[in-house]
Amino acid sequence: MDITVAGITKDFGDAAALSDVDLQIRTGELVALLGPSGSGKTTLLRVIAGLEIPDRGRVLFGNEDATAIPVQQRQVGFVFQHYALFRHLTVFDNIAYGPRARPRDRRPSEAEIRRRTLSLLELVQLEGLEGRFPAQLSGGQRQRVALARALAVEPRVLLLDEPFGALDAKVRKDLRRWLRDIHERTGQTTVFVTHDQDEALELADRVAVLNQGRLEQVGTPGEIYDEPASPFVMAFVGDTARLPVELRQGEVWFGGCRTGLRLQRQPDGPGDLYVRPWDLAVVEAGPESLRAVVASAHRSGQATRASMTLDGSGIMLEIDVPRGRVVDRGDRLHLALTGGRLFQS
Amino acid sequence: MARHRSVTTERKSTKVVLLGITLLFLGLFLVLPLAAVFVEALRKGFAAYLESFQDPDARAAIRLTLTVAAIAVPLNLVFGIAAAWAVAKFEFRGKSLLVTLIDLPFSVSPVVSGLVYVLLFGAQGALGPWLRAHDLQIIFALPGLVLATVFVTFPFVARELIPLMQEQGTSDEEAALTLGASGLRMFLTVTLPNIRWALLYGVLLCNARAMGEFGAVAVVSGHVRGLTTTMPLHVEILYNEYNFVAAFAVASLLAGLALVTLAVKSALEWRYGADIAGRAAH
Repeated sequence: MDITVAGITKDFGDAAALSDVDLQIRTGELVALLGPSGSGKTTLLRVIAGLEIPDRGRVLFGNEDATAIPVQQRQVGFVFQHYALFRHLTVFDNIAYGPRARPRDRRPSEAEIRRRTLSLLELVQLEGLEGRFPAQLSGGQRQRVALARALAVEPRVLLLDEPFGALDAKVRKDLRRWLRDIHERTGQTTVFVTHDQDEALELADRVAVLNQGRLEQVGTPGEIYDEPASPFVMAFVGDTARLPVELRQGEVWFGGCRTGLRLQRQPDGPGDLYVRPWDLAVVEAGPESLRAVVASAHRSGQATRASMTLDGSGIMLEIDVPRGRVVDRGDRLHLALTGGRLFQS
Repeated sequence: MARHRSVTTERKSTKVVLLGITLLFLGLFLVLPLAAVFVEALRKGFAAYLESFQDPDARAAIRLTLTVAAIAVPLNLVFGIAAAWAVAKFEFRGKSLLVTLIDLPFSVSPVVSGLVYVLLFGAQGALGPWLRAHDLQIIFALPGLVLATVFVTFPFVARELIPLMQEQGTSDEEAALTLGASGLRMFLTVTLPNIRWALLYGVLLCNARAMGEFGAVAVVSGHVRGLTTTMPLHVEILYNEYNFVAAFAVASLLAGLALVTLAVKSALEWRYGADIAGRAAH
């Protein structure tokens, strides 16, 4: 089911709001709504579900205007951040809740409900746990019950609010892979909310980045990462440092010196150069190199990251230290700019 | 194994003294009077005790007390759920004022609340002439007793439910709605089961107070024997007539009610403590 969000605006007085958000979600897609807290991502998800009424704008399911359809009839599967499992019902009764709540004429028989519930339990790999109560399950298991319960209503779109937020790192990683797997098997149109850029970039077909109620960029993980549309997106999806620079005839000047970095198709003038750790290389001293002091260094897995303080400006930036090279706090290094993204100021 | 002493653990002597004071107080002010009620009631033997309940006025008082509780408690059950729902699940202006108002009966003397009804509905009251013209009797009759009892007992259910429902939030209800449940179905299958033990607890306390209330009821009752005297009022009348055995016999019923309430309350707390207090039951 294609989902179209058109011109959605929502005000909460002073709290998180949405202003004029447009988003297209294609059938079978897995889309992430990514943003910091207060960016409006959860509000957008709730607007799609019908749990919030927008002040302006429309939500279309296919060609049908769903804006006025109440949440009960919208047929969406919603997985809440803390799962919201019914604690007095067993796993089986939780999953069967949706089908049993249908009006009598559209309600499947109890045998059919049983068959479907058991097959959903198999899908989420919880066979044999149908008699347990939510309090007797681990966090990851509860998450899967919540997913099975949402899928039981045969939703037109599956919506997940911070699906892995409450889990520890290891379970998180497993569930991430598993959710991707389920999505591929069911082909269910899915939207999930996250504040974790790794999660969004790893899991989603497309990522929508929100900031202060506005949509900053929508694109594939590659596009978001390699061609960020705004300084905000650039800074949000990875480590970046901002250098105030000037472009003269295609060459980047920093602190009144040339840097040797040339950027194509950019007008001359002052701007901000955003650099990632791998946009800087450790080099021998030269006229175009930047001088910096190691402020701290730490290992992350195989690589070593070093925080550097640039001489003169005092700007902090991170670099990837080449393998085999040992750096210590206080070491002086020379750096060359090898890349970066320029935003006109 | 070495015995560890935590810094917050007092010396043994301190423990004994504190425990002694507590037990002395409990004995003096609680156990002794309670025992006295039963001793006095049975002073002239079990037959005389039972005979006290043969008195038609005593029977009428018991019946009236049960009637008042049977009306007032369900009313406050409905009010309590409605108020707790409004406070816990909606945002609106004046919410803290509403919560304060719900607590009002706890801070106002019951006599004052009784008087308010007399001033409103009594013969000389604001609505008195209108009521008389329509032949409606509220004060010195059952409606007045129910009104006064409802007023005095209305915080009990709401007070139990508000913190619990606030802690539980709205996501269970939202989940039921996204799964297609109607509002009524959501309430019956999700909200009510989530609050059932706290609700029972609140009803129990509400009932105990409704049956035992004296002050507010005394003002609106008019003390018409066999007609408008509830059990606590009947006890007072009998006592003033030096009919001690009968007075303490009726009092023993009220004391018995208190003991049963206490027992059920403790059982509920022991079994469903987490569900009642609103702590997450994981």
